[in-house]
Amino acid sequence: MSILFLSKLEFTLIFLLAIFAGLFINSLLYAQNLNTNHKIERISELIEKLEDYKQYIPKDSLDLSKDLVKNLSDDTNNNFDTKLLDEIAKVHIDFLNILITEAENKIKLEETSNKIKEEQQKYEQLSKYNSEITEELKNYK
Amino acid sequence: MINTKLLLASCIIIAALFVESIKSDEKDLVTGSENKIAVEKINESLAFIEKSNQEKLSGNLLKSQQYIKIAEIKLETGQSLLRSYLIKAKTAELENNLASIRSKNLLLKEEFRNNIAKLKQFKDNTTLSEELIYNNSLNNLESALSLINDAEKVDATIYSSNLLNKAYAHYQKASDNHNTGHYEESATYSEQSIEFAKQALQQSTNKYKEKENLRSNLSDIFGFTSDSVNSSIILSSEEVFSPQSSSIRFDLYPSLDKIAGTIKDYEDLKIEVKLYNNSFKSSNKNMALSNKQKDTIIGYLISKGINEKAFIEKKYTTKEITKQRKIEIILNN
Repeated sequence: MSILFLSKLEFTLIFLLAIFAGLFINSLLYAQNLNTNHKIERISELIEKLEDYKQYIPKDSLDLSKDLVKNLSDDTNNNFDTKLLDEIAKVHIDFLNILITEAENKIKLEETSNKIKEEQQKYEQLSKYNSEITEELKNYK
Repeated sequence: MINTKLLLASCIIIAALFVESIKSDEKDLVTGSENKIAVEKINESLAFIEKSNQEKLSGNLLKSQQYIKIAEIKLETGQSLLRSYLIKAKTAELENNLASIRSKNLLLKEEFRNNIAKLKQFKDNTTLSEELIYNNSLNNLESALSLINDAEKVDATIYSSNLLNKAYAHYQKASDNHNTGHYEESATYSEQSIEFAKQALQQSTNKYKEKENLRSNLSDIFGFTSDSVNSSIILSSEEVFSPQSSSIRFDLYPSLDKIAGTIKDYEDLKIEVKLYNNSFKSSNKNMALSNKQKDTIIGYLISKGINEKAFIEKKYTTKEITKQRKIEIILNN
């Protein structure tokens, strides 16, 4: 009823507002989807990076990660809750980053261990040379 | 149209801010304290399991599955964080060990350097000492040889043959030791050689001077010629006796007087008188004449103050005594 009392200008303004609101909601949904897709790409990148470190991380973790990313892509296309899908993608990225950190820590551990071996070898060699020289010095005292 | 573009641009900016926030979240998670975050993750995992159960009870199976997935990932994340925590702890322990070994190595290196420096110093000193010993040995050898040569020049082979032989024998030992690298022994032998050579030189020099002095005094005597053979001075004359006579020619008496006057001061002198004759055809006659002439000369010299004991008596063969007519007075000091 009341719409009949609106002037042409008012009607046009309300109409434009409704169009803008629609566009805004659409854009938000598009952004959400864009964000999730971006995360899936990021997950793929991280998995690729993890392949280089696979000897340093548990095989099960890598397999789980691969399965998750595959399912995530499928779920995105199967009308799952997009907010939760985004959350899954987010925690997955966290997980992969943690795995990479774990691998890097293991590498550091391995490097430190190797350095210790090198230093020990140096110490043993130096000790040997030193005792030889000490023996030789006795001849001059 | 303008407003639509503005709205779209705003959405893109919001999306970009989302991406940045994700990246900063990742950083926080990685740099945080693993064990605390691990516990948080596990707790979160449990919370998501609870949510999953609730959704399941509500009949919302899809959501329940999604919550389970989140729970599973969070649990894995927590486990990974715990492993990382343990690895970091182990790494820290190893780094401490590494620092300790490096510190030990540094100390050992320092000790090693010091020992090397000491050894080098010792070796340098030893080389210096060896050089000194070598040079000493060489110098002593040269000195010993030089003294031996000097002694030989003053007829030490005759006057001090015993000492000279000892000097030479020790020199030989010194030389052998030097050639085989026993420089200290060589130096000791050289020193002994030098001592003997010095003694030989001293003795011989006195005798040599005495002989040269005597020779000088007897060098210009009428009717006689003087000659020096080794340690002897030989005074020769063919004019003291006329042929087949045993009487001294009157003009030769002054010469014999001068000889007697000169040699009577040399108490250690040994005098040998030799007479040779070939005036007779018979050798026996020549020898008899020679003996007679010798007695005449010796008798005359004794009468002039020469000690009888200074004369050496020797038997000569006929062949020796008759080869040439002459008289020889041989003086040995």
